[in-house]
Amino acid sequence: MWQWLHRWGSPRWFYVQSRAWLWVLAVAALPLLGAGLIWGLAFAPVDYQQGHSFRIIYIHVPAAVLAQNAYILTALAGSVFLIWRIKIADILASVAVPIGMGFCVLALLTGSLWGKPIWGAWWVWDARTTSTLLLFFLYLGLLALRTALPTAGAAGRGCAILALVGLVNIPLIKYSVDWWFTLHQSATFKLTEAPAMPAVMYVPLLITGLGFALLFVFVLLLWARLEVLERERNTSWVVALTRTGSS
Amino acid sequence: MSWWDMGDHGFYVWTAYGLAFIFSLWLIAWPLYKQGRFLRQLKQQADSLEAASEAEPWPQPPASDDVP
Repeated sequence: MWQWLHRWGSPRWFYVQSRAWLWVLAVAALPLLGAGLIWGLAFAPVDYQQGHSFRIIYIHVPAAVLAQNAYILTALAGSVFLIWRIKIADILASVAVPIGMGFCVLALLTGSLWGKPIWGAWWVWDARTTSTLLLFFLYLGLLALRTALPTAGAAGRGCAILALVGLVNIPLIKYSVDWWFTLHQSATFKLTEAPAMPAVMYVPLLITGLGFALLFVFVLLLWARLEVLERERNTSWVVALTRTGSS
Repeated sequence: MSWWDMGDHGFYVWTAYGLAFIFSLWLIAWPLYKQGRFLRQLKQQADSLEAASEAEPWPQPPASDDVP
């Protein structure tokens, strides 16, 4: 097990092995996304209170969940880099930031598009939306810090510490709807209760959630492979790669 | 009420799905484009180094009988 993990810590091994995984993830994500989104758009019934605008849930919820999970990944991978100095951990921590930030922006924008017809406002300063906006600023800080620090090692350590400090915002986002009175609705899925919505509405949400999660891992590998190439540009295996023309 | 209008909510729903589509495309296309450009640049560098070394071969060490 440790040997297997140790091998994945090598940038070269990661680059070579991840190629096959890209195909597996793409083949798995596409039909799930296609089926879930078409089901949600065309076949899920209209919500009796929110009308058709509830269909935004199939984009908004997966985007918000992935924005938070990408941040947790950044902090975890950052701490692995802090403790063991594993290069791949820092590469994953660095590429999870722009991807997670993108999902965070998508969650904020789709939330705004959902809020306008239902709440009558594009934005409200309630606990859930504000803590998600804070997540966006944390991502922005991580991006700025990585470009500001002079060496890759210093940038990795600095970002890992900032990501760990900002981790406190994640439970704040999750429990904001329970701790404070908010306009934002409470969690759709709870471990202890059956969902309030019927299966014909929540099954496509589960499918799109899984599809987006697989898409996230797919693009994480794609971005990490590029980062590996750029960081290892002077190594013999990358130079050999350009001669063989394989990618 | 047509399905496209979605009871006056069509603008919000379709914009949300459009944004998700554009974002997903960018997530995939951007690293692929950058990787292609990076590998091309690296190959050009390697080719030009190779061409330079062929045009101007390294000076040969003097033959042993030339050595005083």
